[in-house]
Amino acid sequence: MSSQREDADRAPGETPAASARDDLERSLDRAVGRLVHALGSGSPPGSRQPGGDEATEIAHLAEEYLQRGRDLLHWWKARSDGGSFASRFELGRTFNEATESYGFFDTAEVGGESMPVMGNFQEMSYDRPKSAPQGSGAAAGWLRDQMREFVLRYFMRVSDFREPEGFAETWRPPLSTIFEMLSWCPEESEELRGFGFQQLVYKERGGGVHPFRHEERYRIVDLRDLLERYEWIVVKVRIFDFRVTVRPFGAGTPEISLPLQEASYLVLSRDFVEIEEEPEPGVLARYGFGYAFVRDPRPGMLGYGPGQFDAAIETIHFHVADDGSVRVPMVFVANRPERVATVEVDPWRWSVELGRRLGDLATLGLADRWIAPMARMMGAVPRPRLRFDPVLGYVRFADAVSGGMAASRLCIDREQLEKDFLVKHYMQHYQTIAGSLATWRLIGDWCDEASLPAWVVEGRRP
Amino acid sequence: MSALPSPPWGRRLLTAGLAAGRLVAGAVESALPGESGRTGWQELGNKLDAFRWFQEGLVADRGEPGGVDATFRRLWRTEGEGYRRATESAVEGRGAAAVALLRSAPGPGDLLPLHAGLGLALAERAVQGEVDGTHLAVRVDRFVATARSAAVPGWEGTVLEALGLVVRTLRPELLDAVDRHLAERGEGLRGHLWHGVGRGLYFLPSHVPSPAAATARALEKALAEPPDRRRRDDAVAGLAWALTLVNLLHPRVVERFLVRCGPRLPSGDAFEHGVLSALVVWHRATGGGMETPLHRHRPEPDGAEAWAYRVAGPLRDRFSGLVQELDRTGRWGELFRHRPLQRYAEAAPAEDSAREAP
Repeated sequence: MSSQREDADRAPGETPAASARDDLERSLDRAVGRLVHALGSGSPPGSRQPGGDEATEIAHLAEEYLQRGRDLLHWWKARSDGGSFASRFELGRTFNEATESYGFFDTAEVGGESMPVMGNFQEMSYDRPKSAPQGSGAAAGWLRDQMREFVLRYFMRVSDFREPEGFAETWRPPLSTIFEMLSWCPEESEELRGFGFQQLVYKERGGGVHPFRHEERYRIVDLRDLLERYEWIVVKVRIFDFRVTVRPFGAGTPEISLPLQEASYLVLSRDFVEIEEEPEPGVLARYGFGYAFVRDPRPGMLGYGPGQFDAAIETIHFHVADDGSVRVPMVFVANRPERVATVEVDPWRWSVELGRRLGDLATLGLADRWIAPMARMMGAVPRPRLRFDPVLGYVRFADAVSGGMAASRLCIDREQLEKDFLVKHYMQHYQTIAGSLATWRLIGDWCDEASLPAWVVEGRRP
Repeated sequence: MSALPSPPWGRRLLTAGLAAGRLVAGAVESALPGESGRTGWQELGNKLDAFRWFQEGLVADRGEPGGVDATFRRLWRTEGEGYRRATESAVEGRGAAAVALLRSAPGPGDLLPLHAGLGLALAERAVQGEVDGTHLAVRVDRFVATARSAAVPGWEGTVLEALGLVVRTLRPELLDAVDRHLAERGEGLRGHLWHGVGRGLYFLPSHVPSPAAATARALEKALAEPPDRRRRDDAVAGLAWALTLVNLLHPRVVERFLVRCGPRLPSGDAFEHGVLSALVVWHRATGGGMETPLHRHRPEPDGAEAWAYRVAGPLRDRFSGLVQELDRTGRWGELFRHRPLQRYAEAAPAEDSAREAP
């Protein structure tokens, strides 16, 4: 039965040729089976499985980045009261201006060390009930109750950092032919059914770390549960089309567009949950939440952006006034980048890896037992490796050859790049809040869960 | 395992390849003059379809109208969905997520394919990477424990059986060691293992180049590879299970197999057990209300006797009793190893208090 059967083990009447055929077939079955498995499952058997190890790694990092987030939050609360920063500049939009918005650079104490930080603050008008003046008090109170449920229970289930993706419902009989590759029918994607946030793992107070069930991943917990039940939860948020554009030759010339990571991991805890009712005259309530960013454990080319912060926080609050008007102050704070992109030039490693993959493909993995060790041995050869940041490298180069004019006159400097990042964040969160307004107004009564559409409760389209 | 690239397009490439293969099989089938050749290519096409639907999962199932064909596709897609979600599940091993997966089964008919998909995922995890003797035993024990804890009570056998298929397909060099370890455990697990081996033999890629002789070759191995008669019966039952279920809509494939290989089947009712088990799966998936072409099949004259003996007769005499027994005990996992059919008498009057399995 095994591939190493001796003659004595062979069945009576079975010839060596038949035994050899069996062995060959078994080797072929094994090779093809593993190739098919590699393609179909997205990872070869023996490799890291998607999903499971991702959550494990993130869970291990959550505590560390949550603590950094707490430090940043503490710093922000102390600094924002006074309103003064080491450097402050205005941020604006061409229309739908915020009631107040600005960016800043400063230094914060994080993890016991000074960390250069940057961030932005914006406050938007969100909504105002249309009711007769004499009835506005009752309306405001009702609005407060609605806002409480919307913000603390449903906002993260129905909000997205992306623009809505349009699609037309299209069903055709399944194509059982190769013409699927030529089809224009929209491809159904499980990811399109959910909104921006997915919850991955949680830690219970006094308990261990557990994954959320797969079918609950879009049904973000009620944030009030962070006060008593959960010590923290980790969510993943998709931010498509988050890219930074660099025009080395100026406006109107070819540009380099860097697509930043499309997903970030966030950790939420009660430190970031705000629930205040009648905190001061004129204010009915303040509800809000926030999170600390968790660095993506998998290294990539990009050195900055969502998923690459050493420390970063975001808070989104909803303030309900006596007259029922709602304002949304939002804050983003992050470490200033030391690098934007990392390119490693290692032709030796590239050649070894290419050779290994070609060898595996040519032999369907049959020769892997010889190729893999050889590749490992060759990959361990000591050699110099060149790493550089093409973006900041260009900035430094431009500054050097221009004697500083590139920065002072042409805005080719790190600070401009950082401001571009902040503008990107600023607009992304504006889009999120603006997009949520339609959903907020769509539902008649956020407090009546039985009347809510299933997609609101579940956080995904059916 | 080789460091083959595993990009997101891998699954699309695989699915497209399977579709292309299906096209080719269909074209060749149409062109061949002889019945046996055509049947072989039809069977190959059916295998490719089953595997492709498995890869698609349930995302491809939405919006399809009902009917025998759609229900048949859904069976494979549900298994694929169970496999995919179990493979992607998260932190605390596979057990907790596996339980959640099964608890979320949309209906009782989905339980079986979901368990089967879960079993594949767990079994793959158990045999991946570098494995030596001691580690293999630990991994097999962990697989058994997880399967038992994750499965809905009574369905453990469905999950356990997948180990045989995965080992025979991906790590055949470990089969002896796994069998020895299960024999040492002495808990009747070997029956499930070899049933899975038999199921895996049906799908082996090395049989693809000769479609007309593929199942005959698989039968040869099912008779030769098991270490003893009981395990041979389990393997033959597994092979018959796969043969029947894959070709449920094209019963002539089964009929031609019986004509060609019937005389080589071992004595006993291992083959019939596999056939009935597959039909029970269908019965369960459809709530019992949907016949397939296999149920209505009229064999050719040269296959009538074998068909009556191996399929129609057991279907008439043993099927209802088997279903009633399983309904009563809830031990649906027992479908996945050979048990003599003589214990299932002809249909008895329905009992009002018959236990409904979850």
